[in-house]
Amino acid sequence: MNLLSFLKVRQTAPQARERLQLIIAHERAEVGRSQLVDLLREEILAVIAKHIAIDRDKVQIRVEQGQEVSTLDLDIELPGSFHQKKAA
Amino acid sequence: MVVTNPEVSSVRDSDRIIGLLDSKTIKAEKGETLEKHLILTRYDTARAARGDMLKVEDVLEILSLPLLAIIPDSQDVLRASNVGCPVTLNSPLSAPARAYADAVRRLQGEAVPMSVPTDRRSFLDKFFTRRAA
Repeated sequence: MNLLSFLKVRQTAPQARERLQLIIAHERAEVGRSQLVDLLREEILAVIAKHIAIDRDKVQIRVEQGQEVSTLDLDIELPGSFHQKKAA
Repeated sequence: MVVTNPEVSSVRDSDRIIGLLDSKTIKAEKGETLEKHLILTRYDTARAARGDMLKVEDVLEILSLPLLAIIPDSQDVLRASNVGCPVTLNSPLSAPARAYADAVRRLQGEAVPMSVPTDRRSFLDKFFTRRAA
């Protein structure tokens, strides 16, 4: 082990810097995403609520992150009268 | 005023808080911006130079806030805290106390050059303070 590699082993700040940059980048992306999901949810619900009376408590929203594709899953329970109206 | 240590966990928490200040405060909700300052505490110039501690520039690059002061790591802080007294009153001549005093002057608009105060004591000083303690 030469002096240079000894110094490299001892220096922990560059590692701290890298870890920090990774964590921060990840967290900032996370915050942005959750705000986007909230916004999408509100706007989508507003559009649907214009035409159908929906119960806000019966709305489920899920974001799944895959390696290449992420999915936004909105599960909205429609009132029982919905099908009848449509059929009529 | 965001106070952070040159540690990964502390800088991470500060980044979160800055995010909240920019989005959840009354000012932010009104679309106004909140004036923010950064105080970096427990800083050890020698360790940072040795590559054993995040440097001031590293922290500033990540948090991108205007720096108000660098407070050096010092045993005086814990000593003051142990007796329930701010370090600025308990040992006003100590390096951290002088750094806080500088911070106040900068906040008041004085142009105080940014530096990290150090405890430079002569051998005799050390000798007497030890004896006194």
